[in-house]
Amino acid sequence: MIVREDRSIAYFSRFAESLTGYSAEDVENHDFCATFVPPAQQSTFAREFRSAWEGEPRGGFEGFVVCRDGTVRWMLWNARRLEDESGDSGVLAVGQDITNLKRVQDQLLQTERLAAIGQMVAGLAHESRNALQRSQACLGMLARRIKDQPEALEFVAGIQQAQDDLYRLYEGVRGYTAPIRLKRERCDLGEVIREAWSQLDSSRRGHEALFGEHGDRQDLACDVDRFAAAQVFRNILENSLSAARGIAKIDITWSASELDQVPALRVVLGDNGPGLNDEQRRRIFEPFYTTKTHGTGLGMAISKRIVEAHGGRIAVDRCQANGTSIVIDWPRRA
Amino acid sequence: MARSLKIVVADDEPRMRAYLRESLIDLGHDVVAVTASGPELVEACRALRPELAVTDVKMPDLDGIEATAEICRETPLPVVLVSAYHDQATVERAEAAGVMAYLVKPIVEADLVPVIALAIRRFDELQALRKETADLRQTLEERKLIERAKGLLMKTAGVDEAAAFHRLQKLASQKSKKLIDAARMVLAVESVFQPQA
Repeated sequence: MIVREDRSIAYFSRFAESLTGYSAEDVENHDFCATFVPPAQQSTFAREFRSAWEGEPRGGFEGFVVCRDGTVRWMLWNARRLEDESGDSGVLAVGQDITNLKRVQDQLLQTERLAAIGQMVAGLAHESRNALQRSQACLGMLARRIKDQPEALEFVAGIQQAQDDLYRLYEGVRGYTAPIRLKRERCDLGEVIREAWSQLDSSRRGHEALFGEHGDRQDLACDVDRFAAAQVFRNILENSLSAARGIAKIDITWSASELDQVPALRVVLGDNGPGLNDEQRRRIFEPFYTTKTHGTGLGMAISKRIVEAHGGRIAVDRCQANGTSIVIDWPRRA
Repeated sequence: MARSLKIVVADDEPRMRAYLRESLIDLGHDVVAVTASGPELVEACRALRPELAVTDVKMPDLDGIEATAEICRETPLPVVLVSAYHDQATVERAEAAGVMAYLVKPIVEADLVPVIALAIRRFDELQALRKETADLRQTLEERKLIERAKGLLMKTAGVDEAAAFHRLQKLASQKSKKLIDAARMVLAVESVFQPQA
């Protein structure tokens, strides 16, 4: 695009139109900063623009633009002053969309980080198992010696619970940081989800729960790792069960969807629980974020890792008024 | 209550030894030796002939898997490994050494119950199959020898198969030997008449 001294847009290219979703008519003569740049970056942009205007070409600065539909793209900008014969001048700003590149870089960094942590954690988990076993041995023998002292036995049970939590935490972190190796095969995701549900029998512990399926159930076949996909469903369903007050009601809705033009299968797992507040919604996939007393805060983080390793997407449904709904798009083919 | 077993225990950790011992006694078993290293475990199994061994993997001198291999080379024994490690290399070594069961630490007393029951059951079945195979192999060998002796009789005495078999039976009953021994006698005599190499 070409921008005048007062930061109004003089020219908006076809590429800019298709990227931002605005037509040239919509934005020409509008302040580009106010239109495209998120507030936090506006002063930086204004400064870069000023330098370019004053005759100093600017190259390779990065920043965000906000598109018409609210999505944010990551751009790499080059800008320099242009003069035409008539004496009009402006700044030619050429932006390159590097969102995908940044996304890949981020993923690589995250993978490397996890690999490094993973090695450390695997070692830690092994050593911790020996220590936990010593602790377990002593606890077992202690409990046997104080069989007739119920009050003391309660303390032993408390230590046992804490030790079990610690063990689960270690194993959880190990599982989260371990490299994901998927064995993808054609699976009926409806079967996988029902399997996951039946595996949760023990955590229902007599609590009443309803499980219903809706939507287009014609073709639920996707190339997924059966165990990994079942783990994702189990984690989500487990959260719904533990959040439920009274009878838990779980609704599964199937529909066809797309992921970057690739055919996908969308499954929405909704519950009738208390729902999530803004913070919970924002942080649900963060490792160690939990609202449960004995939770590790890794279930949803692991689920996100698994879904993304499949090239899929997982999110909290924002439109849901009651309860919590998790939306997953699984690509149909590997 | 499951059958009471004579068990040898090995772990380099004193508390773990005590815990395994107490737990196994609590489950009704007879812990005949508690050892702290691979060589001690091998020695105890050799001397005491237990029905089961429960052992740690990482121990000084000889680890639990190497000890298992050595014990089983002499006399097959069901061995339950209890280890903090479950990496692929360790599991593969355990498979190759003939380990019957594998538990990952930390374990509690209740974890031992099904594992011991299954290890014993599978071991017994395996032993029964081994014996059956050995018996079948022997039967097959004997059959071959009898066939050869019969063939020899048919050739040298010029009789048919039924008559040759009858002669062999007669020889066996005269000497109050088994049929296979009669066949061996016939073949031994024949070898004397063979031209020397």
